[in-house]
Amino acid sequence: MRPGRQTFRLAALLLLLLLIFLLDVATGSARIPFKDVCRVLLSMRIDNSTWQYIMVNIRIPKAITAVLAGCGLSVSGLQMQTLFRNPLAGPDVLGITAGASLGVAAVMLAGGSIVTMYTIKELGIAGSWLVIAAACLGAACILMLVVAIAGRIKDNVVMLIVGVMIGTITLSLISIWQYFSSSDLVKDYLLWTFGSLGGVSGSQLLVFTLAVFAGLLISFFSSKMLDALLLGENYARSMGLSARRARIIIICSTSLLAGSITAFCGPIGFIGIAVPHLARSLFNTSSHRILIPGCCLIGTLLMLLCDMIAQWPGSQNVLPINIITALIGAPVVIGVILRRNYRRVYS
Amino acid sequence: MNNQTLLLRARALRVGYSSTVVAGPLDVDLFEGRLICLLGPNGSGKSTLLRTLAGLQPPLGGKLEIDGATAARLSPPELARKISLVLTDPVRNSNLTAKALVSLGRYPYSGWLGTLGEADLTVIEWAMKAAGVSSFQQRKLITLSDGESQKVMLARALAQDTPLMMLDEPTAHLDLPSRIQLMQLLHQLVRRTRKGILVSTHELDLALQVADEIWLLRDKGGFDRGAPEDLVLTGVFGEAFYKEGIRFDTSSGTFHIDQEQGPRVRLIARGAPAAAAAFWTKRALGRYGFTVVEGKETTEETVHSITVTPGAGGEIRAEAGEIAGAGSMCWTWEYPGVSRSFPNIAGLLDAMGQNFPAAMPK
Repeated sequence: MRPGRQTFRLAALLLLLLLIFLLDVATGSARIPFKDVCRVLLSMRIDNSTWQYIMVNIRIPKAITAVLAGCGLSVSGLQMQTLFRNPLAGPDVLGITAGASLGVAAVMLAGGSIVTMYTIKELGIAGSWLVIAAACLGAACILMLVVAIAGRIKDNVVMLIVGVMIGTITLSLISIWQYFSSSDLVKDYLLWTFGSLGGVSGSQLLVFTLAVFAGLLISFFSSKMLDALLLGENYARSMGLSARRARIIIICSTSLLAGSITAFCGPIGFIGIAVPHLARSLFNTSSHRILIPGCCLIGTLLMLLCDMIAQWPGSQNVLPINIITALIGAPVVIGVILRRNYRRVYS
Repeated sequence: MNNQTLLLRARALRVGYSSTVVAGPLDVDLFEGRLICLLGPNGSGKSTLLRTLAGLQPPLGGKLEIDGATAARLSPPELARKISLVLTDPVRNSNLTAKALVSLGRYPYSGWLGTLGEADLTVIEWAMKAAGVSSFQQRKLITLSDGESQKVMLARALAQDTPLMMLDEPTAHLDLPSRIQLMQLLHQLVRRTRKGILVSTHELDLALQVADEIWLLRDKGGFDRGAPEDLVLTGVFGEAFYKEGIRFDTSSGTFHIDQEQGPRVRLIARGAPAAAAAFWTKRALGRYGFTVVEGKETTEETVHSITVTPGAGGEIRAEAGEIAGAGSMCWTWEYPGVSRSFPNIAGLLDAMGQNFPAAMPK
């Protein structure tokens, strides 16, 4: 595809994204007139202080969280698919989010009765960093384990199964921990595992934004490396890439993204594995310079859509975000496996 | 050869994995403008040697110099500007176009985001033209045949613009015309670009045709190098590939299945036009276990003789009521008291089979 058309599609997606963002903050259980929504977004005061509060403290932070989570998960998925040269890789399927969960569980459950997710959030910046650090560490540990194992496995589907097993083992460890924890803590933890884009606000949002931006920045700067890794490690090395350094950088960026998002939004599935495929088919390229921004846009769009579906306009209930992403993402994964040229290309 | 640049120099080089030495110690030099074929039976360490020379794995001992510098001191980007590779690793990305893949060859020269300049684009275009893949720039890798995608990989290595190029079994999985084409392409590239090219391959006969020099790895770490013809004449070549029941025939440069010594037959070709027919007759007789003695001069006594005569085929063919035949040749089989003529080899073999039931298949 010519660069001109790629730029056009990126611009079109960006426009669509702005529209969806607007729609997302305009809809919810409380009816707020569209005019007032726009006024708040343009940081003008409105008369109704309840609406003002809902907009500033709930809807806008939630939409920003959706944007960050969408970007981060998709890009981490793209990086993993390139690093493992496996179209079925993603932060959730290879157990990376499970690793992050282990980190979060360690903070939540080991903290005892005083430290719950609620109190951590109350702790402000220090607590946010603590959860993020624990989640990223958990994610990085599992990712390094998966990298070590992936070197010995050539078959992509087998690698997927191994990843799922690693995730299961990690979740079992958490279950053992839960078994010996008080019911309040367990309930708190379980609610977190459903996934939620709400509840990240104020100083946490700042920390969250910083972490995701750092991850995205590292990833964008490593797009040349990722391009070379498309040919496999030996070719990449023959072209002057230091394989060890590349692997460390990609692991850092992926753990930072998947870890911080899991810490704040819970283990959100399927976005990471599905979006890179959508980006590849939409932009018809393998160049990461295009694919990374493309993944950001599509991931964000999908996340905002999922969020809107989760809080279906007029409904008083908000469905857990994980249910919606699975309903949308799982068919994409099945599609990838069933694709006609799958056997020829990947096995 | 002394005015040529020495691109690679190894002394007492030992290659292998951790504590297992697969090959060596060996001394090799690689000059510019030379095509070198690395041959050896399976498991003799061809790939290990090639990977070591290419810097993908460290040597277990000895000295390795690339373009005058100690290989271990070269940083990955420096090495990437000296050696380009075509490996056996499959490149399985579905979205990569041929041109995008070739462009990756400019990796060592491009900016931090991989942006390509005017000069890079010129090199890419040249590389695709030289490898004969200009016509499928925008085609996806998955739509290419094995032969085509191997040429694209070659174009990528060319785009890397290095004095040295190494290819690990580039002709594996290719059909026969593609194999010949690829080796021919390498042969021309060496002449045109003055690169030093090292190819590991199983194509013994092709290697004998195109290589300027052959490096021969043998089982148990033996190593020989030299002009292909020298290696054949000194018997080193046949010895390296010796297997039970297989013999390298130095007179024809091909491998033969060893047969038990069967009935002796004298083969005579009448004039130059019959030479080709005689050659194939010898092969046919050899297949059925006859021991062929060539020429009239030999003093060896044989009871049976076969004479290939050009031009007489038409008559006999008409006589035998046959149309199908091998050109206008005539095969005459003689032994005391009998002389029979045949229009083709099949007829000859048929008749001989009746007299030598032991030699012929039932």
